[in-house]
Amino acid sequence: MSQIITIVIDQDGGASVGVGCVKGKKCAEVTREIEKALGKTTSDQKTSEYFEKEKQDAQTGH
Amino acid sequence: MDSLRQKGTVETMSHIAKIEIEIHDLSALKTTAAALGLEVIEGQTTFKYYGAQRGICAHALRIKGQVGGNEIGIVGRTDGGRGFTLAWDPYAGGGGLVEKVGANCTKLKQGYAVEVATRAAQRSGFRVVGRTVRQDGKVELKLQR
Repeated sequence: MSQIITIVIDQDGGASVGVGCVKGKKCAEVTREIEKALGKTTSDQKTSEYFEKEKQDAQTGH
Repeated sequence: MDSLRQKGTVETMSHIAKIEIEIHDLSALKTTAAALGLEVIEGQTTFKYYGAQRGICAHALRIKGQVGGNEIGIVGRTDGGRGFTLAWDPYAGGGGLVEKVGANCTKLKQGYAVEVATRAAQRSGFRVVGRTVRQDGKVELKLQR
């Protein structure tokens, strides 16, 4: 499955980076380099998609 | 976060990070500056602002070919962080600089962020599949691999 990243860059020196189609811990790895290049990460929020995969992994022993 | 939620895309995201943009990449800044009609003078250690006053910097930005005009100082951070801050005097249009870089250097900083994000994404194997400017002036990049 392809991985999709959406980056929204505002005019006040801020950006939001979101990643779709990658659930669980791997999603943070996907955007790490982009976040680092852009600057300082001030907040990092995991959505229900993230935890959905975490739950699946726990159930399957991954 | 709010930016992504506005588009209604947050439901499909598994992870959303909010980032404060910092200027680390001089090469990306040069590319952005050129697109706005500016040029980076590498190694120029003072920049000219109001009147004939000069500030200290690591490199300087000026309107392309405009020798003797107001400049923007690219100043090494003094707070221990990596990269640079921008110093300039936008008074009365800053000698034409405000028109080029926007108030508070918004156009320059936003353009830099787009450039640096695109480069970082390409290094990670992504390609840009969409780039739009929203009505609120925010730029949205869509990347895929």
